[in-house]
Order: sequence, then structure tokens, then C-alpha cells
Amino acid sequence: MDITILEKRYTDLLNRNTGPGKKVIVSYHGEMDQDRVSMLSYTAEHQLDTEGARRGTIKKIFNILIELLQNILIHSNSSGHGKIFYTIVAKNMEDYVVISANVVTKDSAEKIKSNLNDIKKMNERQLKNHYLEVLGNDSYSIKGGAGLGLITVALKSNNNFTFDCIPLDEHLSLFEITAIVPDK
Amino acid sequence: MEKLFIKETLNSPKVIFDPSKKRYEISGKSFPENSRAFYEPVIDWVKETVASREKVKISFILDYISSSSVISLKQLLAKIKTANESGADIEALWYYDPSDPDIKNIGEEYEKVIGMKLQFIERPA
Repeated sequence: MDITILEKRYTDLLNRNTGPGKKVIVSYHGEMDQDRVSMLSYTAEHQLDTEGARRGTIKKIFNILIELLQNILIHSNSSGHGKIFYTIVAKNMEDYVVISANVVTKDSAEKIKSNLNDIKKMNERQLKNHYLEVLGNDSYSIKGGAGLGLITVALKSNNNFTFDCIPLDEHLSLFEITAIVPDK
Repeated sequence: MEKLFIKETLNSPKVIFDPSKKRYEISGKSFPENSRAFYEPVIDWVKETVASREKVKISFILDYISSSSVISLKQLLAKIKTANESGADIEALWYYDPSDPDIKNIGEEYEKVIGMKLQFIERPA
């Protein structure tokens, strides 16, 4: 696996979110564990508060960040590949962006892509109905995720998110999700 | 009924189930790495409570619930509903901050998907 692709991407994103009207609030690149999820989420919450972000905005970002990071954590435990990740929370003009990426197998990437493409097509009401449908379904995976995390990200960002999949070698890809939260 | 105490951490709530003081409370932020494992002893406690026939009011005073915890709490509430159908008398008190719609919304969603009434209580500002 060519790890330099991941490192270069992380550096490019940091540069892209630095400059007039832009500011990196929290960023991290390294290995993932639950302590890291807590540390990054609480740091982002504190920094956003210091920045003067609205309470509702801070809650949405806290929510999105935890869902994205825990999604990485849950899946990295099973695949063994995805423990290396990066995340960036930044202010970009009037919006906040929450970016997270990790290494997944190409099969997983296809599943996540398909799931996210389905979610992207939904309006708010459809998303809420889908959320209730998944919540009402008792046949969860052993880890209890059931895709509710990505639906939550979509709901909290008003479905304003993008994703990108960058091949690292013939088996692995870097899967990156960017959610956008306006400060209003 | 046995006591159940679980210490609060940065990502998991405090659990105090103390029959001697009639205090039953889950409070804090809930986003543990493995929410299923975290809530398992709480669900087991509810199962064992059926035999006691004592009235129990469990307070859910949560500030944040991650999606995996949403699922585990749903399983806990569904267990309470089943226990009540088998003769237990457990009430779920769902506390919410009126300035933050998320927690109340989650409670209302549980009512829809489980078909169980929660008692909603506004938290003081």
C-alpha cells in the first residue's frame, strides 16, 4: 500500500483549508482508537466554542465527527487495514467542513459508495423515514452500526456531503467523506 | 434486585441502579466504542427485575447519543417493554433539554418504532 498518497492528500487538504477566510480547527493524521475519537471530538467542540460558532452548529459538527470517526473505528477493527486515517475540521468562509478518510478494501469501498449514493438521492423526509426504517429493523450487524451513522451524517449536514475514493493499490482504497455545515 | 453501578467515562454514561435508594439513572454522553457490550449489563439487569414486581422508574438523562448507542438504547427500551408485558412495572423517564431538539427527537422516534410510551421531562435550563 502506498501510504504517501494518503499523506499527500492530507497535506493538500490542510493547505486547501488555510488562507484568507479559512482556518483549520482540528486536524489529525495517524492511527485510530476510541481515545482518539473522544479527544478529537471534545477538542473540536471546545475549539468551535472558542471560535464563536453557534451552539447548534457545534452540536451538528460534534455529531458528524463522532459518527464518521466511529464508523472508521468499527470497520478498521474487522478489516485491519483502516486504522490509519485522517480527519480535518475547518472553517471555510461561512461554512464548516468535516473531513474524514481511512483505508478500506475495494469491496468495502463499493458497498459504502452504493450506500452513500442511495442516501444522496433522498430528500429530508425520505432520509428521516429511512432512519426510522433502519432503527425499527432488529437485524443489526454484530457491531450494531446498521448504517445509521451515515444516515445521521446526512441528516446533520442536510445531505450536504461528498465522498471520494482514491485507489492505493490493487486491493485497497482511501475512502474520504466531507460533510459541510453552514454556521446558521 | 441487585445494584448496578457503571462509572462515567469520556464516551460512556454513568449508570446508577440502586434499589436501596430507589435511584435508577443513566446519565451523560453515550458514544462508547462497543455500545452493545456497554448496555449488556443494563439489559441483563432489566431481565432480572421482572421477578421482583417492584415499581422502578429509570431516568434517562443523556446529553448526546451516538447512532450505535441509539440502537443499544432501543434494545434496552424494548426489553423494558417486554418486561412490563411479563408483569414488571418499569417506567422510562426521558429527560431532554428544550434548547436541543436531538434528545427529545430520539425519544419520540423510540415511541414510534417500539410502540412504548416514554415520560418526557424537560430539564431545567
